[in-house]
Amino acid sequence: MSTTSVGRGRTRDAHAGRRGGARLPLVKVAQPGRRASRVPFALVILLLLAAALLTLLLLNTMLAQDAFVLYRLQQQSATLADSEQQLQESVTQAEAPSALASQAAGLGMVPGGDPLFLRVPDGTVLGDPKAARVAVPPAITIRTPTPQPSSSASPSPSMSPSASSSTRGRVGPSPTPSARGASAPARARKSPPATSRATHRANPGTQPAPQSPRPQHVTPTGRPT
Amino acid sequence: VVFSLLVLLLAVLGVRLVQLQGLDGAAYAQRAELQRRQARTLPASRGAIVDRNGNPLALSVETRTVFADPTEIPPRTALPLAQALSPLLNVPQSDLLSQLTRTDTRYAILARGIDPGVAQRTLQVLRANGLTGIGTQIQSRRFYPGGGLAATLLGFPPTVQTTGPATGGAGLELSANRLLAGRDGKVTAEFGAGGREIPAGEHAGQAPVPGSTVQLTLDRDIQWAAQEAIAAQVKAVKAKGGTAIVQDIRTGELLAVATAPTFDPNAPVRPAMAVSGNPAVAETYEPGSVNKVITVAGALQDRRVTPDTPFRVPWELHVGDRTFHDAEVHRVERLTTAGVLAKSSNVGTIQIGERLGKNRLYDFLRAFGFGADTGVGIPGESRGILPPPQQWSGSQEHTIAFGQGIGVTALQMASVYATVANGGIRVAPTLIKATVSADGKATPRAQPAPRRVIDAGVALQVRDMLEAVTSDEGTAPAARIAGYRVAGKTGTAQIPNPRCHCYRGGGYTASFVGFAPADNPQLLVSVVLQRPVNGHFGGHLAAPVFHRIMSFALKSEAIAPTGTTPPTVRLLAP
Repeated sequence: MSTTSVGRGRTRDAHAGRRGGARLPLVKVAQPGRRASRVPFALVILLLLAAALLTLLLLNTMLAQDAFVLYRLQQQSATLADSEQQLQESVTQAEAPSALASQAAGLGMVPGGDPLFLRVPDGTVLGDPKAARVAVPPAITIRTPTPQPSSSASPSPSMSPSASSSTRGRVGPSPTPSARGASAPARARKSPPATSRATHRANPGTQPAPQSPRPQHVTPTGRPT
Repeated sequence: VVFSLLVLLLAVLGVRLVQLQGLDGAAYAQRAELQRRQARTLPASRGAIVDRNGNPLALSVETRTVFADPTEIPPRTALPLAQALSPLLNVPQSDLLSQLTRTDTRYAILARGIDPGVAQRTLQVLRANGLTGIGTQIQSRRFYPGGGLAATLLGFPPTVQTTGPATGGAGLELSANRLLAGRDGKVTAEFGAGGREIPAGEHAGQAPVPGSTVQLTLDRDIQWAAQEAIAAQVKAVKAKGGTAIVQDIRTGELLAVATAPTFDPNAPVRPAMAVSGNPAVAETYEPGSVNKVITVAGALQDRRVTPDTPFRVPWELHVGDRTFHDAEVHRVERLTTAGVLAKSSNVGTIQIGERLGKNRLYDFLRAFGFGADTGVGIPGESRGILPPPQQWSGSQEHTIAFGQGIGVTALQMASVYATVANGGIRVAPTLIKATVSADGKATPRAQPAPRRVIDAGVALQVRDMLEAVTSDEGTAPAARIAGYRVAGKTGTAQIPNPRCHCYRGGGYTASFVGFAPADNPQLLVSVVLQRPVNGHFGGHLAAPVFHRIMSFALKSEAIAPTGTTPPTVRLLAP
């Protein structure tokens, strides 16, 4: 700051000298001192410049690299989305009513008869049990996994409280021979053919048997109820 | 000398540099940019159609179209390429070869609707073998998980043309297309080799707006059950077609609109019925006896009769030059108004209609929704045929009283019974529950204002009479469901024969419309069978289907029996 103001003063004086003639320069400045202060300044500027360039280079490199990563991840995401879609497609296809019905028919289930309700508080049966009974085609053998009473990894109906699994058996025709051996489902089946109001959504028109592929009721939190 | 040579060289280079950078620079930069910059369309995903519980009935899945650029394929690699692609794309080798060797195009489609995973594997195989000239394009395919479930209702989406508006389409896919389609986005950006976007390059565009999801009032399971039941009966009685409608009486929401025959929308070829509209709303027929409920309700409302008013009912009645008779020969009976309805006597209904008068009959037909759109929003809906009373011929006044001589749709007829069941208040049927935009915001459909058609007391009287229909003395004991109180009405209508302009040889429409529980009506089921060959009475053909569908729906909706005893309705006058 001081150097520039001094410089300017000098120029003004020079002009004044030329115009006025006999006026002497008023200030003398030490030249070596000024020179010495410029070099580090330039160095600092150069360093800054170099650093900026390097940073820019680094940034650009990183950006480019990230772009590659982004692209790769996008590809991966697209692939995953594709397989998700494929899986979802097969799930929606498998859970369509017609698919469920044919699956159930393959397991020997039959559509239920007339509606029948069991009022839980007092045990009243609403509806006509005779009309609710449906003929089961004879000579169907179904192999069912024997439910384990222990807390093994295989989801066993006896594990869950009766409110969820056992009431899933709808209006019961006579229990299938193999299901008779199972403890919890057999109990549900042997009781008068009745069902509580909460169970109707399970399968369209079919009676979920103990050999249902997903015998464990899972709450939205993922814990077995 | 060396120095001057160097100077000369530098001068030449300098001039060239000035030429490249200064003079032609702009042109080169532009060419480079053109190479990098590409405008791409970002296709909007089509919204799904879901049932009332959010289960998908129609959804869009991504597929790939595999194409070739024949100019990039050297002739000698065409054959190995075709050999490699054939098993992957499941296309005959000869077809592929003819496409790969085309000379008139740079875009030869090899296969459509390829699974994305398969397409990717294909490209990997080709890349590994150093084969070029094959590309893939993202396309969308509509997928109906339920197969034929509600297919005649859903229809199919219109085909998007490269230029001009979309063409074709049918059903809800067409009528709700504006909501479902969304808006395509576009992006203009700089892309490097391999299609990667260059960072910090120019990037401008518009994100696509995905289509909304349309939520219907249908229940997937009830729809399926109704479809199965009606299809089985159509087959059993060799009918030309049939419809079954399940409606929630309180809200007017349609839980099922099933028609038979139906088709598989996932099949590549669509039959003609795919575009002909849903028969439940597009097909008009003469309702027959089910229409008697309007005549009786009107006469009760206008206090022309009471439920116990006696009528002398012979089996035949001469009015003017015409003779009307009941479906079955019987001795002269003395029936009450309730008896006329329960036993479905044409002769008795004509007498009730005479007391009501044709102008008032017309008013009630209109009030119950005949001759007008139901507003349900299914495309191709018919208003039916209901001429004003001034145009009625002498006999039409009498025939309309028992349901011949007018044309209605199955949905219109179902709505009449829903009105009676709902205490005389008409709630227009609805099919679209809500639309859910891609960001999850649900917009419920505006519900039509309910309208009172008949007094609650009159509706109650009619309801009791309809319950007598399912008694042992009525025409449809087969409709009864053990433990429940069921009300309804049979219809056995004649279909006009266009060749003789008479009813002879035209066939029959057998129908049953009913609701349950009769003393607390919640669900309505309407069954219509067109031109059955094995039998023709509504009580024999349609009532069992009603029984099956209603049983299922009651279980599905968890509606328990009311446990009350039906009132005794006097059918025979003293």
